[in-house]
Amino acid sequence: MSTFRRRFRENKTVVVCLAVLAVLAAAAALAPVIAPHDPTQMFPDHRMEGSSGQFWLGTDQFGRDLFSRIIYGARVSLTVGLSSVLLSAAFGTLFGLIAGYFGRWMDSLIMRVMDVLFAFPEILLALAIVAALGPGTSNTILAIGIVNIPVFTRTVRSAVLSVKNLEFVESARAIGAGTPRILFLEIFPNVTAPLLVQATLAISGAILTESALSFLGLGIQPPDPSWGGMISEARRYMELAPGMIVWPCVAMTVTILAFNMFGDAVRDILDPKHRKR
Amino acid sequence: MGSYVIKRIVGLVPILFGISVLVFTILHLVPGDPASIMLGTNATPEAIAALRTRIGLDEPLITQYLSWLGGLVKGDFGVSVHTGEEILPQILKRFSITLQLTLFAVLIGWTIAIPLGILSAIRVHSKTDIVVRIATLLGISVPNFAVGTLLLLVLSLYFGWFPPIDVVSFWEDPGEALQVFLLPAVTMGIVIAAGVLRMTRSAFLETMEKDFIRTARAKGNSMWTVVFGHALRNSSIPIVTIAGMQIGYLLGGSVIVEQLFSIPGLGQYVLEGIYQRDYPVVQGGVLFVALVFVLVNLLIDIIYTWIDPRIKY
Amino acid sequence: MKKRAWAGIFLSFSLLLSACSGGGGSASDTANPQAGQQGGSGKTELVVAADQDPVGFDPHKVPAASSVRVYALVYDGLTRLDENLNVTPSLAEKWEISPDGKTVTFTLRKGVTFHNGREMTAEDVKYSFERILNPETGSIAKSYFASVDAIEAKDPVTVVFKLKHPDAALLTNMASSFAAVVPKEVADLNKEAVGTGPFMLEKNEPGQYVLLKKNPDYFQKGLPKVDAIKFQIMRDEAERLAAIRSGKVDITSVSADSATLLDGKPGVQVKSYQSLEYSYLGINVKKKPFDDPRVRQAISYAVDRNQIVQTVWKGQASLTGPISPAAANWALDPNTYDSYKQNLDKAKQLLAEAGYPNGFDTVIETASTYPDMVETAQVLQQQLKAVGINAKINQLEWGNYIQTWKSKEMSLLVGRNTSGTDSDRSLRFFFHTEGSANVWNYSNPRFDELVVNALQTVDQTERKKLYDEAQKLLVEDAPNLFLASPKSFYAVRDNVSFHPTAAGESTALLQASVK
Repeated sequence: MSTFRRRFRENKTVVVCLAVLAVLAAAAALAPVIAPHDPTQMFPDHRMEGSSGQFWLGTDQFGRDLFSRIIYGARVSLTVGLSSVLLSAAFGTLFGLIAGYFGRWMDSLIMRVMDVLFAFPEILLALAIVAALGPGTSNTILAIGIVNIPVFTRTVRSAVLSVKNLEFVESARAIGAGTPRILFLEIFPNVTAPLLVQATLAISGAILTESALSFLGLGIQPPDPSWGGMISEARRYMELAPGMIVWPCVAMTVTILAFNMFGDAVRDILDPKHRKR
Repeated sequence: MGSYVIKRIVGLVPILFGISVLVFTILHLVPGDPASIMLGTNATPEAIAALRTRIGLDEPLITQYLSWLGGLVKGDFGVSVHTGEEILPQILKRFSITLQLTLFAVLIGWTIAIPLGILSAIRVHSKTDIVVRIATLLGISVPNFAVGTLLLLVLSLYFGWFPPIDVVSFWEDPGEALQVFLLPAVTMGIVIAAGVLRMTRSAFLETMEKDFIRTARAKGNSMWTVVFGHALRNSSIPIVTIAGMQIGYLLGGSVIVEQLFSIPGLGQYVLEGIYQRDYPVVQGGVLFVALVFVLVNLLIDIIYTWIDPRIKY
Repeated sequence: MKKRAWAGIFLSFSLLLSACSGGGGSASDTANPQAGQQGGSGKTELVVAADQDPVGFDPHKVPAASSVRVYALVYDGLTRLDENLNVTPSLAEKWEISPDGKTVTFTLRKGVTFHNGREMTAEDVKYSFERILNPETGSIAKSYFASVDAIEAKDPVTVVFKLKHPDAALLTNMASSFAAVVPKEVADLNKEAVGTGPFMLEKNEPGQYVLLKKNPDYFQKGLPKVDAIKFQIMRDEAERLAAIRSGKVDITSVSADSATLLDGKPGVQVKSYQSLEYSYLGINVKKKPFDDPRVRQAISYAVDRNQIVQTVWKGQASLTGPISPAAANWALDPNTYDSYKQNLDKAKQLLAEAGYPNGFDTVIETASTYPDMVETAQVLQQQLKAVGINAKINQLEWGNYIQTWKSKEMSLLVGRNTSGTDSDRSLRFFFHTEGSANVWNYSNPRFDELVVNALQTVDQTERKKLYDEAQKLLVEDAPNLFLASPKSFYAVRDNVSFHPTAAGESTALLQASVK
C-alpha cells in the first residue's frame, strides 16, 4: 500500500489534475461568494463589452457578467457531469454485477437490453428522452445518465467475469456467505478500478453531451448558466464578442482535460499492465 | 465460422425488435403531434383533425405499431407523414452520404492518431508524449459545434473559402466531394483522433513490454523494424475494436456536424424527423442506424479472426 | 513533437484548402461579376439560402413557411399585394362589388396557362376555392373565406362569389399564398406542383435544394428576370453568413447581428424592411392571478419594451401594438399607450390592489428553436423580477411548444406572430372569442362586436375607426403584451438586384435580377 501512495505522489499529473479539479469544485461550491455579480443580472448599458475592472472577462449580449456566469456555470456543468455519471455508474454497476455473477438467462436478458440501448444513437436518445420528459436540469441529468448505463454495465460485467471464479470468491462461498455479501463485499471492491477510470472519462463525456443538447436547444434552461449553454449561445456572437465563446470554452477544456488525464493516470497506477517502465 | 455468423445474425433479431419497441414508445411519449406541427400556430382545430385522420394518427397506438412492424417485415419502411415520400430510398441515399463523411473523418482521425500514438508510446513519458496527449485531448475538450463554427468563420472571413454548396459523392466527383466533406470530416476527425490515439498508445505500450519484442530488439533489429514488423499487428486488436465502435457510433451520431454544415445525412434526417414528429421517418431511421451499428460490430469480430488466427468462434 | 511541427500541420491544411478553392471558390467568384453558377448559354440563376426543408408543395394543405416561399413563386392568386400592401390585380383582371357588398364578380385574365399548358378558366377558380372550403382538405385558409356562401363560374372568364355578409378583408385574403388557384386535374399537389406562376418546380432534392425554372409563358411580360432560382438548404445562421460572404449564395435572410457584421463590407449589401411580425408575451386570462386585469396591466408597466428592442433586436425593431407598424394605414402609434412606459411604482401599486403586494411565482414558456424568443423571455424574466414576479423559463422544442400554445393552459408564453396583411386577421383571428388563434381564453363582447362589424364595413374610414377602438381596448385588456416588431434583414450580393418588402419574399424575387 505504501508503494501505491508513493506512486501516486510521484505522478505529477495526478497531483496537478487533482489540484485543478479541487479549484473547480471550490469555485462551484463557493460561487455566491466568489462571483462578483449575480449571473442573471443584466446591465443593459454594458452589452458585449471586453474585460474591465467591473467585468473581469467582459459581458454577454444582455450585459451579464461572464466571469460570474462561468463560476456559476461550473456549478451547473459539474452537477450535470457528476450526477449523471453517478446515476449511470450506480445502475451500470448493479446490472453488471448481476449479469456477470449470475450469468445464464439473467446475463442474456440484461446484456440484450443494454445492446438495445447501446445501438440507439446516443445523442438522439438523450434528445428524445429530454423532449419526452420536458427540459430542466434534473431531466437532462436523467437523460445523459440513462444513455451511459450500457457502458458501465459492460465494464463492470467484464470485471466481474474475470474475478468471480477466483479463490477468494470461492472461499467466501464456501464459508456460506450470502449472495449479496459476495457481490458487494467480495466482488465489488475488485471492479472499482475500471469503474473509476470509466467514470472520469464519462464525466467529461456527460459535460460534452449537455453542451450538444444545448446546441439543439434542449439543455439547461436559461437564464441559469451552463458552459455548454453559454458556448452554444455565444456561437452567434463569435465575431462580435469573441470573449463570450472563448472563456466558457477555456473553462470546459480545462475541466475535461483534468478529468481525462486524471482518469488516464489513475489507470496507469491501478492497472499493473500500464505501469510505467 | 459460418455457423457462428448465422448464430450472431439470428441474435440480432431480438435486439432490433427491442429497438423498434423503444423508439416507438419514446417517440410517442414526446408531446406534440405531427398534424399541429405541420399546420403551425395558424391552424384551425378542424384542419388539424382532418390531417390527423389523413395520416392515420387516429388509430390506437398498438395498431399503429403493428402495422408499422408488419410493413417492416416485408421491407416496407412506409412513407413520411409530412411529404408522403417513400422512406427507405431516402434512408439509403442519406446513409451513403453519412457513410462517406464517416469514412473520411475516420481516415483523417487515424492519419493523425496512429503515427502520433506510436510516437507517444515509443517515447513514453517524454515531453513529446505529454504534448501529443494534451493536444489530442484538447480536440475533444471543446464541443464540436464550436470547433465547426470557428472553422467556417475563419475560412470564410480570412480566406474567402466556403465548401461547394451541392453535396456530391466521392464516386461522382472526388475533388468536389473532398471539399464538401472536408470541414465536417475534420471536425469529426479531431474527436476520433483523441480516442484512437489513446488506444494506440496503450496498446503499443503493452505490446512493447512483451518478450518477443524484447527478443526482436535484442537481436539487433532497429526500433522501426520492430514497430512495423512485429508490434503493429499485435497491437491492432484493441485499435480495431475502438475503430469499429467509432464507425458504428458515428454513422448515427454525426447529427450535430450534419446539422451545422447542412450535410443531408442520416443523422439530420432523423433529427428533423424528431422535430417534425414524423414518426415513421424517425422509427425507420433509428432502426436502420441500429442495424448498421450491430452489423459493424459483427464485422469487427470477424476481422479479429483474420488479424489473429488464434481467435476462434 | 516541436511547435514547428504543429505549425507544419496547420500550414499543410491551409495549403490543401487553398488548393481546393481553386476549383470554383471565392477568388473566381469575386472577380466574376455574375450571380450564381453560369451555364454556357449565359443563363442566370439566383441561389437563395433557405433555413428549412420544404415539407410539400400543396398550397391548400401545407402552411409551413419553408414551403410557402417556394410555392408562392409557382402559383398565383386572384389578387396580389404590392409593396405598400395595397390590393392589385393578378389572375383576376378586375372585380366588381355589388352595392350591398354581398356579391363580388371577378373577371379573369385571358390566355393564362398552367405549367402543363392548359388554359386557366373560371372552373379552376371555383374548384380551388371549393377545395379550400372543403373541411377534408384541412386548409388553414378556410377561415379566411368563412363569409363565402357560393361560388359560380358564369363563363370561362367570370367568377361570382356570393357572400353571407359583406367582407372587407376578402380581396386581401385572396392575395394570400394559401388561396392559390390550382388546376383541377392534378390529384396530388404535394407530388406535382402545377401553377400559373412565374416559376416552375424543376427539382426537389430533400435536405439539399429546390430548383425552380422560369416560366417562359408567364402572363406578366418581362417577368421574371432570372432564368432559375435555387433555394439552397442551409440550416445554420453561421453557415449562411459564411456562404454569402464567400459568394456561394446570392441572397439570404440574416439576423440583426449578422446584418451588423455585413454592413458596409465589400461584395455584400444589407437590405431591410419593417416586417409584419411582432414578438409578444401571451397571458392566459383565465388562469390566476392573470384573470385580474390589474395584474396584466402591472406586467405591462413592469416591462421596458425599449430594452427588448435594444437587446434582442439590437435596436432594429419598433414598438408595436396588435397591428405591426408595417401596416402603416391601420396601426396606431404605440407611444400613445400609457402602459407602454415602464413605471415600476405603478406596477407595484396595481399588483398590491389586485392582492399580490409581494408578487408571485410563475412560468414563461417559449420555443428553443428561435434564439430571439429565448432572449426576449430572459429580458422579461429579469424585468418582472423587479416587481416581485418570479418567473421560471421553460424553453420548449418546437413541437412541444405548439402543443403548449394550443393547450390554452399555459401561464405566460413568449412568441412571435405575423400580424397579417389585413387588420381583420391581426385582431379577429388572434383575439375574437371564437378566433382560432385566441389561445389566451380572452373574451370581451365589446371587442368581438367591434371586429365583426369592422369586417362587414366596406367603407375604409368607418372601418379604421372601429379598428382604432379595438386596438386601444386590446392594449388596455392586455391579453398579450405586444413587445417589438423587428426589421427583417436580407444580405444580397452586390451584383444582384433584390428589394425585399413586407409584401413578401416572393414579390421581391419576381422582380429580382442580375446586374
